[in-house]
Amino acid sequence: MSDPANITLVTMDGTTFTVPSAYLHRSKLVQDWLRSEGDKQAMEVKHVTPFVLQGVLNFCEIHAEDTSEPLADPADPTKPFEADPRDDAFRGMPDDQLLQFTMAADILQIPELVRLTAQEMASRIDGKSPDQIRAMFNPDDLAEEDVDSDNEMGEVGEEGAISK
Amino acid sequence: MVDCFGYLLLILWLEQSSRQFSPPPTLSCETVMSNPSGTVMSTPPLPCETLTTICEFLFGPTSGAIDEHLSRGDLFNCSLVSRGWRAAALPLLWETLAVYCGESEDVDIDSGSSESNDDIWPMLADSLVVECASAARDTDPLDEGLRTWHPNFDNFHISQSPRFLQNSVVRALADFYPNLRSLKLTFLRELWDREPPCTVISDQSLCFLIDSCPHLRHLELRKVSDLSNRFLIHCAQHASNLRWLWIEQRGVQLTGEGVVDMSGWKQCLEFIDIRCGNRGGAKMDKAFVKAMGTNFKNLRFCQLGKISRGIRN
Repeated sequence: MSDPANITLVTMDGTTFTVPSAYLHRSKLVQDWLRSEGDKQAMEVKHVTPFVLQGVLNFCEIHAEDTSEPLADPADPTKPFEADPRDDAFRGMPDDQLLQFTMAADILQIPELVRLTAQEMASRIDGKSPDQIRAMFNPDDLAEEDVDSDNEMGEVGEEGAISK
Repeated sequence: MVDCFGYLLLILWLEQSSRQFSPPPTLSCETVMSNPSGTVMSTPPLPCETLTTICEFLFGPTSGAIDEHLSRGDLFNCSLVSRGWRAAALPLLWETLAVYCGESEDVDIDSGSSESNDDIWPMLADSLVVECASAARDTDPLDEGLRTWHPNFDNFHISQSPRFLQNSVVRALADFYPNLRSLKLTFLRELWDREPPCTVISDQSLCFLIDSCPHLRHLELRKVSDLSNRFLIHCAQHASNLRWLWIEQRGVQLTGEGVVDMSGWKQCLEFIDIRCGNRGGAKMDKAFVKAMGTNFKNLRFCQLGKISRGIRN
């Protein structure tokens, strides 16, 4: 890598982002890549749109100076979730964007962002029926096996769902 | 306090959800350089680990501010979204499913939980217990349920249920429960006399189970099988994590003859009890009995026919 202080990320459609490497010190994927393939020009980030990657990088920039110990597990029971006002923008995004950010956080292996988006998804699932959850977070990407399982579960899904 | 904070978050979310999301401020460094193709990319399904994290926030110790507002009902609804969501939600939702079929052939699902909320649905993740006081003639085949739901039980126990004591159930376990730790299939003597199972568990299906469930630690087959030495030969060789083996059957052909390679059992086996024939009095193969007395570092109890090695410390 020509400039070790910066890292270039490339989304699947070829959009590139160059940011200080220090921003991504909580991304296990990036850290592993830097160790093993850091001599390459750019790191490809599959399945992440430029818009989402920019949002993820914004999150990383906001938290770049954080001194808290990195999370090993997003659901670590010893570290209760505490809302951070700096993350309000992430909590206000539409459902489909929230899903994409959750996926991107998982792909880049940033436990702090996984925790944030998962917590937000959980709060939106509260009290929703399976159909509503599908409409919110599983709209067009049902795999074939999921369609089959939905058919298997059909009546249960309608009648067996628990409402509050 | 947590309750109030949770409501506050909920209100906050309701307010925010009405707003259009605007991305956070642009990065201060060099960012977008090019977008040559401009293609639209679809988001792949969330991996199971992430869905599990979401579900743990729904009902787990980390849920913090919202844990007072969410119940197993939410997890159950998540389990109905898709196969992937189901795989993530069910292990958190269920702990033990106990199905008892009484004289009236009604199926009662006992949650084992004192909670009134959602108590029609059991907690189940590790264990499935099925017990029938009588033959439930019209019960749906259990193996179909296992193949459909496969929530990855660790422990599986069927007792007094001739309808469910089928090779197809064992095959379904072998096909879909690779993490199975304990399998108990039992039938009381008095019920056997009155209404013996229409089929018995065979060598072939149990050998397949041994091969498919490498973590199996506890295998208990009491009056449900008519096994031969073929199973014992296979089990002794391949069941390397088995700690507890208890077989009780009427057939006298399970003598241990031909069991030479015990490399599997020698890893972990602590308890073995094999009794065949009337009152377990059938004679066991002498060479087998002798071999069981040597080179088993973990074996604490050994009962082969009428011969007992007692308990070692």
